[in-house]
Amino acid sequence: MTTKKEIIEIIFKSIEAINQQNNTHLIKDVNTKLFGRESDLDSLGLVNLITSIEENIEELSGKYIPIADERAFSLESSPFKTVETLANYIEILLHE
Amino acid sequence: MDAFIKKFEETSQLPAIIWNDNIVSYEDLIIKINQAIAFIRVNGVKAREVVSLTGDFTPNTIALMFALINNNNIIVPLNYNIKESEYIKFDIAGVQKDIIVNVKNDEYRLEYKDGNPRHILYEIIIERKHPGLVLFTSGTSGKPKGAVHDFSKLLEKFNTARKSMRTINFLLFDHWGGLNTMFHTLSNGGIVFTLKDRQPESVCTFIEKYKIELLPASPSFLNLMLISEAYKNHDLSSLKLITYGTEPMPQTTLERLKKTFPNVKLQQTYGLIELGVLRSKSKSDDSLWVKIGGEGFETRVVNGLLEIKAESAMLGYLNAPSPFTEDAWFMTGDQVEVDGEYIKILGRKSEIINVGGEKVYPAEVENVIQELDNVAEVTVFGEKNPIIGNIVCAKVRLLKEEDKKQFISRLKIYCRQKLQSFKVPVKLIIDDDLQVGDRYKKKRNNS
Repeated sequence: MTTKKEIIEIIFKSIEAINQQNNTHLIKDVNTKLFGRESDLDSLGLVNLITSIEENIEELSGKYIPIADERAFSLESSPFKTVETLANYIEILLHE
Repeated sequence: MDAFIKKFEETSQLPAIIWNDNIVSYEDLIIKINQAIAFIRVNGVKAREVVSLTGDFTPNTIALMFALINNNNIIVPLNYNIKESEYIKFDIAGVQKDIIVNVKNDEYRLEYKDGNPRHILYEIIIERKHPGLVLFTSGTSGKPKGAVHDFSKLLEKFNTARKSMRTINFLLFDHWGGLNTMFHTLSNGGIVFTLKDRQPESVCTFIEKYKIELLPASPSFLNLMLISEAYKNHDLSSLKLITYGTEPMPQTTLERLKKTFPNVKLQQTYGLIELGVLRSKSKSDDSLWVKIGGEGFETRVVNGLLEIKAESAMLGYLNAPSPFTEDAWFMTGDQVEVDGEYIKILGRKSEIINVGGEKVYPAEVENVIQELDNVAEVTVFGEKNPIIGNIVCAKVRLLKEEDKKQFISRLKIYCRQKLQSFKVPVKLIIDDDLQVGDRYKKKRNNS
């Protein structure tokens, strides 16, 4: 079972990789804004971040879990607002 | 047809075909053609019937091809190793009889098929009392499309005598590229050099043994030959010309080819199953800019897409809408850049990846990735994505093992320096499998 703490660690790991590859300066903090006006990421950056997170989760849990699917975008409150909201959303996905 | 036989008689003592290291002279070929004519008569193959010919460039397959042309049949050439998934071709073409050549001993037999040969395009050919030819394009949607030709029109150009180089029949039997080489060679008294297999090592051995001058191949095969370094073990000094076509050539492969074979001329070709082969001239050996056209062909570019008007154009598809404009120009679907008389082929419109409204040509990205150390092969393709429509993905085969994470990071950083960010692959798959299919072309759609 993957805990929320582990999920956040995975997201931080992906943030690190994205910063290195994309020249962005996302801070490894649960309150870091991932997408929207106050974020350093554009849509392409978000896609790269999500793909990296998906790969890291698969590596750890052996399961491929698509994070960005239609459901994620139909939720009233977007899971891509901050590191925290994303971690919460992934936790739900992992426990389904 | 008579014109061919007349030419064969003139060169009767010369070798016509090298097959399995055996020499078949033009005289032998005439005998084999007469035997094939007798065979189809005895087996009740009537003029106008749709007959598939399943084989390869063996002496008897070639003889049967001439016999069926002589009998005004609608001919469907198929490869001897036809896969089950391709059996649909018999239905599409409405094949009534199938002549199968055993490519090991060159014996042949006939099988009855229950295809429905009624088609408006066949009627046109039958009316003209001409032989027909059906060739298949693999099609991007997966289902093969049958292109119907008036065979006489395709054969007309071989009446003009031209120089014949010692050429490997590298391209396949069910493709006009392969047939074109064969007809060109035989109508000019040359030798049809047939290959047993198309592995780089075997091809290089063959070139050395038979002092081959011209190698017509695909960019994927040439890349494999370079990375296999098979050429290092053989004397390939007989080679004068390498031609490449059928898919976009990566600039990096072309440059490596030039460096490896500095004395060989490199020439891009442009041919389509629907139109035949155009005459072409590359700007220089290491340039992807090419001038295409020649007698019987006109070209124009509309909205960045190449259109061609050809005297030898097919009549149409058996099972797909017409790809011709109202004024009879064929829409190739190839996106091109234009510089005066020269064009540069960027890729198939259908293969363009649309990333959030921006266009990405797989070939451009492949070219950059190919520049990296330790990359053997790369295929770039698109994958649907809910955020930006599609993302760019790349499947890479490495030359030697390398830490996956490290490689991905290295690749992304390099691509970011060379490409706009939306062109940088998001997903990377590292895979040990070869990325070329039986045709030595990249398998882009089933990635």
